[in-house]
Amino acid sequence: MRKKFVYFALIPAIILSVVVYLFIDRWIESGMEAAGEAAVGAKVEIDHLRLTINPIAIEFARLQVANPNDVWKNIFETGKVRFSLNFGQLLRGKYIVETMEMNDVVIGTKRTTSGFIPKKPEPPKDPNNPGMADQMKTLVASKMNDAPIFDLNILRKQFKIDSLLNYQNLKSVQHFDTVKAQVLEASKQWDQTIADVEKSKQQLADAEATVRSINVNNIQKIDDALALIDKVDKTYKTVKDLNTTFVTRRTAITGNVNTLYASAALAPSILQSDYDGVMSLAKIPDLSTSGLTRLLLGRKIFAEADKYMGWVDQVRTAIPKYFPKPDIEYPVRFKGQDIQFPVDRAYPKFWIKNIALSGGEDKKQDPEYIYGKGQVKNITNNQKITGSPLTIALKGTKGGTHAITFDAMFDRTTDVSHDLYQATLSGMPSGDFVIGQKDFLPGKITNMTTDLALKVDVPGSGFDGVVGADFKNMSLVFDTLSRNDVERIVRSILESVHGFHLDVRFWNTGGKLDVALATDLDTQIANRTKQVIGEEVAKLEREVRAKVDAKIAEKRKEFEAIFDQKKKEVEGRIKAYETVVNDKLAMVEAKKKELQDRVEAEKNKQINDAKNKVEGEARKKLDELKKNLFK
Amino acid sequence: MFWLKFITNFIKILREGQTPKQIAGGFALGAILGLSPHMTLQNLIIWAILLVLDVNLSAATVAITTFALIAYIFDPLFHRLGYFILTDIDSLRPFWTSLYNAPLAPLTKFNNTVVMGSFFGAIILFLPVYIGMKQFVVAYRTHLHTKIERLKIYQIISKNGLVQWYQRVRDLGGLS
Repeated sequence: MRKKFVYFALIPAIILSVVVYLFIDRWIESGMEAAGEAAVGAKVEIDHLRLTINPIAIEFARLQVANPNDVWKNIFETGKVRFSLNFGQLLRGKYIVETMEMNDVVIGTKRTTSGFIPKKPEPPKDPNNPGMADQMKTLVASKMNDAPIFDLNILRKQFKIDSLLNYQNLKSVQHFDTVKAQVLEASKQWDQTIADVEKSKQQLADAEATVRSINVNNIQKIDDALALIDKVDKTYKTVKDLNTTFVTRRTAITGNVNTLYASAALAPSILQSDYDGVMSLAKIPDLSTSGLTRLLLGRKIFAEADKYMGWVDQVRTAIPKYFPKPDIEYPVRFKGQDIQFPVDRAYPKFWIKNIALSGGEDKKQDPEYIYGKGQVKNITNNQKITGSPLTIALKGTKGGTHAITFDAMFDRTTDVSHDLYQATLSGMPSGDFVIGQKDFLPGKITNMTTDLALKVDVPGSGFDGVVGADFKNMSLVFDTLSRNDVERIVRSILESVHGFHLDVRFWNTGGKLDVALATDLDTQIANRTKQVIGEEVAKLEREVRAKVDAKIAEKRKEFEAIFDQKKKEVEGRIKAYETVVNDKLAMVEAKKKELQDRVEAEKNKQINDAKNKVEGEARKKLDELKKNLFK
Repeated sequence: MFWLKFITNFIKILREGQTPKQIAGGFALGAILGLSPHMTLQNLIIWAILLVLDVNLSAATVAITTFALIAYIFDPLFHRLGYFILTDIDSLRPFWTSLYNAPLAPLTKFNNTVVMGSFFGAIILFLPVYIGMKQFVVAYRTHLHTKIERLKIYQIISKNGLVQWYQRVRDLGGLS
């Protein structure tokens, strides 16, 4: 045994252990602070960190995380925090925490020192792949430009219907132009038909000549009469065929005329579409839909959504960032091959299975402070190994009375990420709700309490967020004095509104971010406001409608003139031809009857002659017989 | 200079000083360390044994250096041996599996074929190396050293001016 060496090794080992014992807490503290600052972008401070060996655990008295957007405030600070590490996995270089207790978390506390740290330059944004916050900014700008004009003076000044209206774009006008063109096209076909009919007039004239050449008085024999009857029959058939063809064509033309006239009738949907289009161009507010809500609440809601969308965007992109950098590989003389054996279960590099949280806002700063508690589960750098999404479930109260819940899930277990947020809030005093209107509408809402339900679904790059809110006990406050009677009346109406329900939905499931607002506030305000400014708006609408109607009437008249002219023309010619054909038919029928009468008479005469001759011969024979008998 | 001192010290130790067992023990333990390619838990234990036991450290250093050089040649063989032990012996698989899931297992790197093969080889070679070295020291001390001192190469090295200057400086400083 080398006793001197034992002392030689033992003493430095003891000294080293003492040094490590004295400073390891500070080293770990510094390491965690540096890692936190890199992640947050502002100061992270840990107080009185202590490492215990059996079991391997870390505890500290306080954690402060400064707000990078307001460096004199913390995002949150904690009370005592303690967590133990899985020793077996720690030897494998993996940080597995079964349970972390984080009590007395306080949000938004003031700092005594600045939390600023120099920021690293942000990587340039990909213009082809804008984040949700960027999409929201674009959407908000677009929606605010589209917001209807609600100042009556501005509305009047901007309302020059003739300059807004391009009559050729009206669907009704286009409709009449189309039908007119169809009438003109059809009239060409009618002319062609009439021309074809005209050609058959010669056949009618030939038939007439044939019939007129027959003189019944010249018939001597019955065979001659029968031959003439046959000839007349053929002529009759020819005329009848011509008549059939004519009737068919007349029916087709008549049907075509009726169809064209029917198609000229204007569908109500076309007319409504024209009215709506012109109203939209004139930016006349629609008092029965979302016009007023967007006007009253749009800016505020869009601004709030923009802010929270930034957070959602940050969380969505930040969570996958925690994949660790690969360890540096040192070349070895011969690497060999690592044989893998079945493991009881795989662990990621970093995994906090459960954090028990409690805390809230600073009650010293706000007596109506929020206090809550709950659990955060499965914080890890690789959810595909743990197989469990990161979940947050918090419940709390505001001012000790109003209930709040917040649940979130961040799923990275599959190739497509999926985030889900749900929150409810009831009976929450909302303070002053600044609308920011500077015209005759209210500037803010005061004394309001709110029941809120929120659900935001972020599957992959998609987004579908729904907020339902019940606002109660509200009062509308105006920034300026009434300038005229109309404003005074409108204000008195708005002041009588004390609550409303609002649903806001943001989504981009179709690819483009869009927003929809639905509320009964519109109905409430619109019903009251319509009485006052509705007449003015209605007058403008009537003006628009009158202009549109006049133009449509003009087009209709134009169409009907052409239609009537063409119709009259074709019907006149058809009528004339019909008369000719009917005359010819009557003449042929009369001649045929005359011939038939002549044949009948000749037939009777010949029968009588034969009868008389037979009777004479018989009488003569009888007389001769009498003479011979009485001789 | 270091290497010259190293060689002369080793030859000096072979001739006189510690017992053949101490020299052979240091040499055999050094052989295990030299053959192992990674810094592993078992190597640390061998180092601790080496430093705590009163074995010859110069012999251990010579063995580490010599066997580390040899290990380069035998790495493919150790890889095959380790692969055979870890994968082809079915009866050992449950043992490896339980070891793989044990907390300290990652520190041993036992599942690496070269680590396993070289460690197994070193353990097998430990006794023959120990016995062989012990017999060599005994033989050296009885008759081999007179023959070696007559070798021209030994005389060239020992009479080298640089070595003699070094020995003087060394003796002045009392380092020997």
